[in-house]
Amino acid sequence: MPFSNPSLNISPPYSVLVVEDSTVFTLMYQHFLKEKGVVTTTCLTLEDASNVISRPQQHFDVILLDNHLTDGEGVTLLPMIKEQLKATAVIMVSANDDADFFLRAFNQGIDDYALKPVNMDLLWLKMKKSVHQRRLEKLNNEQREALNQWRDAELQEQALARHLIGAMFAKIRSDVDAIHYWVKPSSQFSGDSVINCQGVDGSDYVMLADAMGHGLTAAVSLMPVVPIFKAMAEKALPLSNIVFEINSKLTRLLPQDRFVAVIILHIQPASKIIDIWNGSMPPVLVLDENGQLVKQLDSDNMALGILPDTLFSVHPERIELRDNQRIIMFSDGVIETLSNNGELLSQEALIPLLNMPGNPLDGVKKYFNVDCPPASDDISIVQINTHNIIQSPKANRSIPIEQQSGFLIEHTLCGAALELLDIPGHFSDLLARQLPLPLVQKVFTVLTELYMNAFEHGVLGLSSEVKSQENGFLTFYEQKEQRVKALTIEHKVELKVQWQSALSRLDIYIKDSGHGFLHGDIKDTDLSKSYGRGLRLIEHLADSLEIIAPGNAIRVVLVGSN
Amino acid sequence: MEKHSIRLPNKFDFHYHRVFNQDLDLLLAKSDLKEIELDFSQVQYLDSSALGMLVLMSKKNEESAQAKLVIRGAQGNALDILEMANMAKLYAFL
Repeated sequence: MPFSNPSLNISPPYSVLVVEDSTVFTLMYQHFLKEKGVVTTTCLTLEDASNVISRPQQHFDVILLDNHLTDGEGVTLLPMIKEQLKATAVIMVSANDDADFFLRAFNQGIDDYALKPVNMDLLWLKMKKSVHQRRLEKLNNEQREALNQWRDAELQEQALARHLIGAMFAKIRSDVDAIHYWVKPSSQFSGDSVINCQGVDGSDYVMLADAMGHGLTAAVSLMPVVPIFKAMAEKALPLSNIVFEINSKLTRLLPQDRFVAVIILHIQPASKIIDIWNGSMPPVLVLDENGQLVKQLDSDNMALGILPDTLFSVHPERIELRDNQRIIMFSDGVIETLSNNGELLSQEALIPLLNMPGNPLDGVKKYFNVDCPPASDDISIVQINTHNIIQSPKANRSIPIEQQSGFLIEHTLCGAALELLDIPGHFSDLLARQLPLPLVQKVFTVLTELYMNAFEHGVLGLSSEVKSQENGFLTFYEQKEQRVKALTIEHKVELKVQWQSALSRLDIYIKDSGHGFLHGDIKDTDLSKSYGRGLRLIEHLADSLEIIAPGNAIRVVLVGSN
Repeated sequence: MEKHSIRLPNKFDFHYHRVFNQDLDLLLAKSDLKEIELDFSQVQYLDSSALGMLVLMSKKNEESAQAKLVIRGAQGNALDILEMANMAKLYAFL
């Protein structure tokens, strides 16, 4: 705390300068003040007094200043006192009761006056009162100064926060003419936020978030949400993954009494569907071309940042993406703000506002700007026109691979490395940075099958028949463990992976050090068995599969565009 | 305990075998088990041992709890593979 403690009791002055040429008075003052425990300095002349006053590091609580001194008038000292001893109270003492004189003296900054002959008790009271006044003023000044400093620091912090939050959101909002939104914050920071982002597959993600509370604290709660949403939306990940990740992060980061209500839409023009996840927001409304409500999706999920991963449901609702509809999302500020007439806006009354002619959301803006007093909660509303989404040229593109690239990666693993290195896992992590996710998912499955086939059957010579027996999986893995221990440098798997962006083609070649075996019975694999699907899977996912005699090498081709 | 949900990981492959079987054995030992839901919402990667685990789970369930088996939230490549392997014969898809 920058403030000193205000002492409300009148504490006596403890250091007094007496400027008085009459020895009778000086003795009287000294005697009286000594009784009161005050340290007194006495000067008999102006010259003497000005010497004392101009000493550095001098401090007095009160100066008792007589006006009639042998070498001049006491008032002439006042400018010097004001200059040198700003905090000292001055009580002018004079036998002259001329009101004009005292008025002038007050104008020069005296705190009080006393007439000779002096009543000492009255003077003491005046001294205490003056000192108390000065101390209060000092305290007041200190507090004002501290307040100013605090306010300046606060303004700087707010400017920084505005900049950061502004930059964060500006970066992520893409201008899509299908998506109209309006956010009316109740203070300079909004706890409501609208973010939209386009996935690599041309799908649109739109999020309306309402952090608990409003102002800066609410806006700060949104900050962890933004980068996760952006990163995952751009990769066109499923909505359930995004919701899971954001909830998990917020649950870890936010204090227990903070949370973020949210609606996230994933609009997928290619498959004509919209996935909607509503966590504790008002319902999502779907209006048809006549402005009639055709669907309403209420929230049956908790807000983000409350439930642990295990209790949290992430499954979105799925609706059809139809032409000429409007999807409406809004925060609770819309239906919980009192109008000038003291009424709340019902959902039924909101729809006509949305249907008013003019620019999108004009009716809603007018209602809250004109018909309502300044709101105490943030107000936000989003309207998405499905027609513009469907018409958007980006909506219909296939998975784009914008920049040309290519690589040929060769791995040879020998001995214990065969077991220790998770080649399919590492490969898919690597490829996920470059190739579209659906392709990477396929590649992962294919690589895992190829690698496990080469390793378990080719190199280790294990047979999957074991798996069909009672506790077969356990037996199989026990056998595997034993044979892994016997691996030598002669045991080997070679893997080559080549990517050519121009052809959108991934070639995989894998060869093991085993003897090879025929896979003529692939077609007959019984699906009800818990093993033996590997090659069927590869056949299903790959664009071509070639087993090279004697059966210890396989070549697979996957093509990206889908 | 009537309904139980297992959330599967991002990579549902042979590495998950041990955890899966442990969870499953614990689950099937419970009485009054009416439904087991496998939450596929986070699964992006899948291999044939995952399919093996699903078949095994169905068999074990048949021999013990005989609960309803549900796969929920599968999407993309994972859904494609599950469908290809005719898992709809063993599991209800949500």
